Amino acid sequence: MSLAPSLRQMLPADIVRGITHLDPLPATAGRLVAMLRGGDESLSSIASVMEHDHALVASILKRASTARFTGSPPRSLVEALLRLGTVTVLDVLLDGHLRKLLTSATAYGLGEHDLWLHGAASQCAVRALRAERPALRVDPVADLGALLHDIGKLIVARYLKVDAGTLVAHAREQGVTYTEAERQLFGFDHTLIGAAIAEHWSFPADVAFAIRHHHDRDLAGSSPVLDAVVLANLVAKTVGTGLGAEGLNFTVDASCHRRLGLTFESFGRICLATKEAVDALRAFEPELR
Amino acid sequence: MASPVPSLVVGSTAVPPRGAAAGGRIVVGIGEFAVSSSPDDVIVTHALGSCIAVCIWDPVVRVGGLLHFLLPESKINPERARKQPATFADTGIPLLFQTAYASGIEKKRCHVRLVGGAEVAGMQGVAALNVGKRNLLVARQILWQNGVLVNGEATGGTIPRSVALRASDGVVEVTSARDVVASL
Repeated sequence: MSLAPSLRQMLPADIVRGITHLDPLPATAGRLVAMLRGGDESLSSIASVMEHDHALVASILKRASTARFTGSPPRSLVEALLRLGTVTVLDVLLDGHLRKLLTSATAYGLGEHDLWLHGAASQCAVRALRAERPALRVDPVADLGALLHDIGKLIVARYLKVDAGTLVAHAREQGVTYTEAERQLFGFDHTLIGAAIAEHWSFPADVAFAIRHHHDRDLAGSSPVLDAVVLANLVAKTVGTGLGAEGLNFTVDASCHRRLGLTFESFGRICLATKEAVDALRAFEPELR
Repeated sequence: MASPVPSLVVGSTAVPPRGAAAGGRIVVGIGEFAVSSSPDDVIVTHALGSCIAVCIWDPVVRVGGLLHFLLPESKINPERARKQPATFADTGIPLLFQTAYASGIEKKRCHVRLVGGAEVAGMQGVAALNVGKRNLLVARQILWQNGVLVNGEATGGTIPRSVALRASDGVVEVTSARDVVASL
């Protein structure tokens, strides 16, 4: 897996090293990503790799046994994979992987679990958008974009020992957003690093594009996946996840909601559904409260 | 024999759970509220972005209450409003006051403070997604229509806020990124 030369040139050498030395994705995830990109991997070959990871298999079987998937337990791991689909299986894998990677991000005023919870909440928001506006047929890849949209903050947290107060003060004094403050102080921001990580992990171009541009002010060339990720970030912040020191000092493309066909009421329903999903996550995991 | 009024009422529904221990830090989540008459209690809430905390305190009976609502109007999801009325301004604010009346609060003596209602930067003209501003307008309207004066606000802007209401003296301390940004 390599980093695109264009991104490499925009980032300092130690950050590039940080990205390329980032814990690699599990082998199974790499094969699922290859499937997403149109490769010729088969589910049975992925199952054969996966079956040695008992915890992962248990998670997959559990997810495939829920009422959403007829309620009866799958008869095999391949059947479970078929029921869930490539993206959902990848979700399960990444969920575990991200939890291992993420730490507190002092530059953003986020605690150990906050970054992960915000990604998970954003992913729930995409699902809520899909339920609210089924006619949009939101691509399943948007779930991954939402989960990973702030992954760049992980590298900032690891390699730049900056206190949130520095960024807050700079944003206030210069009258800029938190992301603009990152660019002015560091020469880059978390969206650029996040897109580089997505490329390094060989994720579909739509995912890297959404991560790169989710704070852009004018998304004239937006994609449905990017619009979904922009909305998901806003919803996840609205329900109180990932606020950290940034709060709402970020930009959202003003026409995103029009492209998604949302009114205030439908936006509110998406927020409520997302909050319910986040509450469910917190109920099962006390450390998230 | 009438049951005594509890010193602490915490909940999110029309029939709040009772009996939490007095003399502590009571954390109110989104779509929840708490009312306390115990002077040692501090009612706190975190992660206020576009949400609003309605803080009330009566200096005579020294009872305080705090509601953390998410959205302005229950018509967005009437079923959710029935299950968790504290989620919305138009169902949560009446619930907060009704619960506080049972502890001796009187509306005309009440000190009311509003905190939160932040807006996404540069989104002031986008009504469809501007939750903070709508939350604030609806909260003010409900209070005004019911003859309740708002004594102080720390609202708007883009900053995240946390709030602590001391039941002993009604002081509302507002913090953002660990800095105290207002004392109301």
